[in-house]
Amino acid sequence: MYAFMKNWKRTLLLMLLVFVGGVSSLYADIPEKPQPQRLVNDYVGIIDATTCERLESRLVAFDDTTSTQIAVVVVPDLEGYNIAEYATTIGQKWGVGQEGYDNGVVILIKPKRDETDYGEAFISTGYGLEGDLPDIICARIVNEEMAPFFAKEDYSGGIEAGVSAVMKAVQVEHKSAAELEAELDEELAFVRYLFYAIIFCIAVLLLWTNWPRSRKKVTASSLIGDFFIALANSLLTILSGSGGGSNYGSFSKGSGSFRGGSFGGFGGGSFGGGGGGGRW
Amino acid sequence: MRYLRIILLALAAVPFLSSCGYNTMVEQSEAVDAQWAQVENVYQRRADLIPNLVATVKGYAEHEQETLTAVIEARAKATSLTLDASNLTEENMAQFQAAQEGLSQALQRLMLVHEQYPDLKANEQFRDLQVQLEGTENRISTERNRFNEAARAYNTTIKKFPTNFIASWFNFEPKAYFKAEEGAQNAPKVEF
Repeated sequence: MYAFMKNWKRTLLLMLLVFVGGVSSLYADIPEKPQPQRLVNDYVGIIDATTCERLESRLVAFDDTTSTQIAVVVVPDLEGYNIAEYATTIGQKWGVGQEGYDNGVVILIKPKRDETDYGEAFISTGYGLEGDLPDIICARIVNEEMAPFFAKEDYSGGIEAGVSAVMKAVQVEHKSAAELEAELDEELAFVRYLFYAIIFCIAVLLLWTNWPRSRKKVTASSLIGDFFIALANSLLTILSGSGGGSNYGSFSKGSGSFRGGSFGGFGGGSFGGGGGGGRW
Repeated sequence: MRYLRIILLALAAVPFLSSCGYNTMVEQSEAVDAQWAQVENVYQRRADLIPNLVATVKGYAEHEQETLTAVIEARAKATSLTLDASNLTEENMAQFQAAQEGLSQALQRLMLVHEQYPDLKANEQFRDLQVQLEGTENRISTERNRFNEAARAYNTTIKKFPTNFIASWFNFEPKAYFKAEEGAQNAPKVEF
């Protein structure tokens, strides 16, 4: 039975993936989720290697402690999209932030190519961060913290400044992935105890109330009793199986968030078009 | 005995109905309704910004009374027309869209005006409102796209064979889309 439930969940997940895949084919020009998943994605090669590594490890550490995911994306061209739409689509398509908390941020930068061109940057916020990072603050971070660096062609410096400002704005609020997981476990534990209690009550009722009315029916009733005890037992195994190990975590991070160093993957956060940006 | 047979039949019909997509249709219909609520939400957000915007512009651009009145009127029209999620017919949708479109255009004209008033352009509050308005337009386009996606998924299901039979038995009506308008499809351009 448990195996069936597991398969069913997997099927649903697969269907969902297919559905999401089908939908996102609308935005075919927008890059797919990077493999392996990274938080700093420079498709232009404008960030120098040391900054890139330092930034990545800073962002991974930030994700580990607060579960807020900040993705930095640098693209050569917006393919005719509005920059806000581009950034929102990346956030949604990659699933930046944790599912249900939608605490993801996408910092999208399109560098200036030459004098006839202008550079653009946009900070897109997941639904859950619209309060911490209102559009005005996003626009200010871009215009006041990042653009001055970009105007001097110092992309590494500008991006680092932007990331620091975003971190400062969102740091206060959110719980770490470990805390979220613990919370989820607590909820599961409660449901599990409820199940124990119900099953116990049913068993008691069946075994000791009016069931064995006469001596003749003892065999039948004890059979039924046995059946329910067996059922209760199997349910108990199922429940303790699903709750005991912490593999149940709905975050794609997997159990135990002390992975250290490498990024555990985007969590499936959702974006609604919030954020702000600027040009230089 | 007869009741038993009916009950058995009804029980037997359950897997039949779910395998024929009844549940899928219900789920998708609910998804469309939920997305519609999001759409209304973001339009309301825009309407809520307007009084502030009008008040700010008024202080700097007295000669633009006409433009301001147009915005206020368009806002009144747009907010008076609400559309229930259960009533998403082509006709209602066209009306709703026309009202919101009227507001978008009036706003666009208002945002063009500011170029002529350097004081207004430099005003901190006005700049913030610009950013907020722009953010709201982005949200509108995001939620509208998502609504169209949800409606498309639902409409496809109710039109496909064999679910179309179930859909017609249980009165699943197709839901209207947002249509892209010429020229007005993109958010009003607000330059920094």
